[in-house]
Amino acid sequence: MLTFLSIVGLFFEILPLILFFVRFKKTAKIPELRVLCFYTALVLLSGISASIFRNNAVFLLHVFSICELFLFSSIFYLCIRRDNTRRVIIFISCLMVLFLIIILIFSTTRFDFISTLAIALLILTYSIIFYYEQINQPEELIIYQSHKFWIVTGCTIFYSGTLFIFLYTSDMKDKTHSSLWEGANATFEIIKNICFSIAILIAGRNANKHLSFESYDTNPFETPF
Amino acid sequence: MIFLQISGNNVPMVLFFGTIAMLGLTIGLIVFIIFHQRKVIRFQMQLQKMEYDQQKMLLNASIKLQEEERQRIAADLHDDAGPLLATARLYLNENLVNLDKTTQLQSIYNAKQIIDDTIQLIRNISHSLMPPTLKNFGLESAVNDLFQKISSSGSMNATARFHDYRERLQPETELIIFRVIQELVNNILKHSNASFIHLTQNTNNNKFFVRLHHDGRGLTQADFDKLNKSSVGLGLKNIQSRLRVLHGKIFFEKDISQTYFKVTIELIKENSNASS
Repeated sequence: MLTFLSIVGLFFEILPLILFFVRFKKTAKIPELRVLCFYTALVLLSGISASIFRNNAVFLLHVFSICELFLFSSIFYLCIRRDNTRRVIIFISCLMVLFLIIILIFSTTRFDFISTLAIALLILTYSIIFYYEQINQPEELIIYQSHKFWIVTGCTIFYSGTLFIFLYTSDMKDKTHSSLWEGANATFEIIKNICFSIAILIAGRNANKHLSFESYDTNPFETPF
Repeated sequence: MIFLQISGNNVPMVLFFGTIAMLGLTIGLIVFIIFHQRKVIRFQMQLQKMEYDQQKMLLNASIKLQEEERQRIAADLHDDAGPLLATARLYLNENLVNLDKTTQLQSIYNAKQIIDDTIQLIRNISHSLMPPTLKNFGLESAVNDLFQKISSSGSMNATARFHDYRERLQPETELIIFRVIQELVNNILKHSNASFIHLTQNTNNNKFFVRLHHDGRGLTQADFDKLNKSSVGLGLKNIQSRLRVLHGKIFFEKDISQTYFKVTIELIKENSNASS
């Protein structure tokens, strides 16, 4: 089962990258998708490097966490429109990166779940801020026509799904629990990558479907009398 | 950290239910956002559509009024000026046929009289289109002139007092305000059965106010809004569309004493020199 999940997971990890380059003309113009592409490439790279350098896997995981936080913060920075919120994102993310670097310097060889948990909570908070903004100032006629929505939804589902897994990472010592962790993680990774793929697929298609009431009135200029 | 100190055997259960709960919450949140946003957008669309319908109605009213005005001018020219000029032509034609000096002089005199009448008629039409007093002397004089005519008819006492009108407004603005006042006064004369109309003008905080008081049957803001949304009340719609050009507002209310009705026109005062 795990092998199957890892094969499917690998396919869905590559899928956003493939779609990005297939629709390069449109996707390359959108900054958040460029960051997303970079993130997907980084996930792939970290997976490969962790399997090659098994002895330094924890260190690599830490470095990856820092990069992940930086990239996700950039995505949220680009997705959120309010300047004040953007400033808060920069500030909190900088603090968090600093905190992670400190942990990286003083860390033991064990996987540090607190930092991962903190990143997950931070990303979930950013997601809620994004949704709140979308409720108050909708950008698109229908929210799921926006690529930003799918990026954020991917992040939200992934982090909310894996939050408890991260929380209990330290308690899962035997192999059964470890495989459970890997299986659940792989499943949510797949869901996240599907959402990212949808975001890349729909990006640039809805440019003209901004808020307009004209579609409600097919003949607005009827004769007055 | 008590939560984290659960024994190893319970971990998968907590993990499973915790993950399910978190996922449920997240999906619930996303679904809620989608539905809420659609609801909000639908509401905004309805508002926009209502505004659009209102604008369409105002536009229709103004086009209709313009057509009525054209018809009136056409009727005046066709029914009054046309026959007068035709009669003058007949008199002048008679000069060619009848060579008697006295008859010729008489017909020339008659033709002159008719042409004078026609000139007066055309002047009246022209004045109704653009009052010369308004053009030459401004809003205050034009309103006073209008009110004097109403008072002299004896049916109603009309007075006007301009408190702060040292500088004239832009000609287009003055014309629009005058037309609005004319329409309001016309409505009062037709429907209110009032015994007096009193107009006051004032400025405050770069705003220009004109207020009409009368003691007859009047409108409240609710009546005005209702009439504005219905297909009747062409004159009121026209007032609204004229004021919209100036980004002005109009308020209909009953006096605190419940004896008088008040109509207040509020406009942002523009510097005529700067804008010209």
